[in-house]
Amino acid sequence: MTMLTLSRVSRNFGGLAAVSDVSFEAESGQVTGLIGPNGAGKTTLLNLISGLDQPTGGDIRFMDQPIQKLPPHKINQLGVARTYQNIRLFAEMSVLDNIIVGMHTQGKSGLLSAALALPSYRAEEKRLRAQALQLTARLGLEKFSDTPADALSYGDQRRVEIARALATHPKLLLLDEPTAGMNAAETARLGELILSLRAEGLTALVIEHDMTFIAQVCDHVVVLNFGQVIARGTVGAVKSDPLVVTAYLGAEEAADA
Amino acid sequence: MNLFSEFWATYGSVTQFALINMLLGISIYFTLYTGLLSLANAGFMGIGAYISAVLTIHAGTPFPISLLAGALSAALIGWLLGLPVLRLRDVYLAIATLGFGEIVRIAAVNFDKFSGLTLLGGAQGLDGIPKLTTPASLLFVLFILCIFLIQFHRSRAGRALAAIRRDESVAATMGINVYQYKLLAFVLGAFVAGLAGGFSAHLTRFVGPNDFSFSAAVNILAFAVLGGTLHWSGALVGAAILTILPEALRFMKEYRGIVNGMILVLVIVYLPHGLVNPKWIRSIFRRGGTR
Amino acid sequence: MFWQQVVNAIWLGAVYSLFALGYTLVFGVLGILNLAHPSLYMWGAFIGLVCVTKLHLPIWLALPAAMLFSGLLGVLLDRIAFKTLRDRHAPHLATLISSIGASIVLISAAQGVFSAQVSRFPFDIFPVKVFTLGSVSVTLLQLTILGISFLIMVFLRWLIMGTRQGQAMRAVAYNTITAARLGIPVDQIIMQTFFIAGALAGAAGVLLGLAFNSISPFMGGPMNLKGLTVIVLGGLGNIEGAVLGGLILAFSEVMSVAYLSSDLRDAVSFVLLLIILLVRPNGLLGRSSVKRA
Repeated sequence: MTMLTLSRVSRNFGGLAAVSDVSFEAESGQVTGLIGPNGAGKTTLLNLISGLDQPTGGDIRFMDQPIQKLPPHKINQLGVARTYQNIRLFAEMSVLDNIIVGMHTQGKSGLLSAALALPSYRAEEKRLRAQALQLTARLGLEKFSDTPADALSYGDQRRVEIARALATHPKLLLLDEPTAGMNAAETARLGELILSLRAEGLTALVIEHDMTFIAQVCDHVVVLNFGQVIARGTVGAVKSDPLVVTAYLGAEEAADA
Repeated sequence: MNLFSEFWATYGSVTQFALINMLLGISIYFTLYTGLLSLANAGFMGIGAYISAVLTIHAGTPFPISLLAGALSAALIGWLLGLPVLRLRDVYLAIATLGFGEIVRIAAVNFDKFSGLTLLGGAQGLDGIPKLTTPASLLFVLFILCIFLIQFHRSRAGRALAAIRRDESVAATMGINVYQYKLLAFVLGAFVAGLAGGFSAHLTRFVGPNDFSFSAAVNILAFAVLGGTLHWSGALVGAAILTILPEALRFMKEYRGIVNGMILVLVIVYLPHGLVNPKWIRSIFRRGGTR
Repeated sequence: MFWQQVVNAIWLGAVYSLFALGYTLVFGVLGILNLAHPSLYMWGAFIGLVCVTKLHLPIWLALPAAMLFSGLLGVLLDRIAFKTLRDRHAPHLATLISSIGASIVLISAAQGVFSAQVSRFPFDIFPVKVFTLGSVSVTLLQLTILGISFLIMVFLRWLIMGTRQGQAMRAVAYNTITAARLGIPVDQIIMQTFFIAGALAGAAGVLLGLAFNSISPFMGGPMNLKGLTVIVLGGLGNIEGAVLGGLILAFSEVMSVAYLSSDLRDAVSFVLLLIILLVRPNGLLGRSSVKRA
């Protein structure tokens, strides 16, 4: 089954095409990698899928429902969660509070029950807290529960972002460079986590530069260059694709120049 | 006891004004805490003042009912104003609310003429309101409000507002309906400002159309900015200082206003979190606790 | 009767646009809604008045003097109230609050220096002459104000679209970081923008002070709401939009006073503002022309 379908999606920024005519699918229960040189339009695509930005053409369907015109909170409520390349945690809140914010849609208590501290409200808070603690344990963050998020190392902050995204109970998880700033051991552990989430039925779309990591977790990759899809397939097949090789070599030459 | 009654004779009214200003500080705290600049709270205060005063005088309703009706009216109008404006970028809120106080003034001045009734007293204002505000009633309401704020910040809605202030887009991708929560903050602020207006009308025994102008809105803003908007107690501290300060600054005569303006600029530029920083509060509690 | 109203509206519209141009320019280039702009306008009016009454300068010298003063005041304002916030990337909210604080300081200072009373230009400062054509009459003062406003608008348009200076301003408006990388002295451009905006406010102050013959520390308040309506009508940051917005507001006001009721005059701008926010929040002409070009 296909979970996410992009058909001929474009996004122009005042005449400049950041993404043009991009079509691909993410299969349910699989991890799809989104790779390509810097500036290829990967993050723009994630913004379009999560509703932070609207495409100028084409459409995006999530579980057979068009979502390109929906506001971000609606898209999240349908089951799409994401992390950010430039970590965007609620800096002065504790790790646990960051995760509990992610559980927003799972709570029901209104202002009145909170103001009066009704039993229903207290029970709910207790339940959310317990779930958040479970998530910290799963991500190996239990010793940081009460630490302000901005006091953590880069790698730990990335894991808090993933925990916060998972807290929204997504069906599709969008990860934007999750291993940036992580050391090799952390990266390997993250790979295992993603595979275990996949085993539980979670679908993921991962932007990444680390090809070892991609090879470890992805069933399928989509390669972008200059806003267009230039190759798709298994990691092995894509790696030997001449178009992909030139795109990466070209990018390296440009970086060297 | 003697000492107290002497103090009260001199400072009683200043104290009550300080309490009302604390309510106003809290009213604008709701929006500032969410990262929104609304200058409509003076207008909301005006609505609360007029409605509650008219009810007390003409319908003879008991004071608490008048107060509540005034506050609810302000909240309703706040909701109507917020509906279109909060969908737009933040500067539009500042622009629309800036004009709102003026609309309240124009409406108050012209209401009697257009309706053919004699309710609001036109440009002269509304006189002879019974003095029903007492220090005890003010303290009671303020106390309830503080309890509410403590609970509010621990609630789902409180966390949502904090998230929106910090990063609106991220909050939205966490499933938070940003627009709805901004509207909630805006309406809560309007309600509390309306409450303050009702208290003020029944303390000064007068409501005039010119009491809710731009400068009144700026004063309210200054309460919260000076105290800081990261913690609700900032609004209380700011309101207390800025109520007493003008008394202390009488010698400056016409130049007194400069101090208010300078405070806004200097605090925002050099002390962006205001006087009350939650980190300090937390550390005080930690030291005081058993740990 | 109708044509007289049209002439009045055109003249008033030019005046509103003149006031709003500096407002919208600063927003277009820097994304700052400078709520102290009306205070620069008020100070311009007072400086023009002082030049005429105390220094006995002719009005055509008082006008540039007031523009110079308000322009410099605008630059000073930026250095004190905005620069630090900009360098710190403070949120919009902080800049707005800072500009409100600055406006209160400027108003209180004017109250202290010039007193809260309403002051007027001497009666004979400008020759009283009325031209009549059929049933329509215009004063020489109105014609002059219209002419000067028009010249200033053409000059501003040329400055932004036809000079290197304007090119640099547009680059800063588009993106300050990119502009800096291109070697544009961003800080200098920002100061120049504030100077121009301030000078425009000063010119509006003198001309409106002459036209309405009423100068007080509080004259910026009612004008502020009109100015905001004008720039929202035209689209925040849109120069041509400010001119169009000024005309629309002036027509609405003049016609509603003539055919409805004079009590509604002050409500017109807010009602227009709310309608435009509901229907076309980006203004009639869309966003920033400085940015778009």
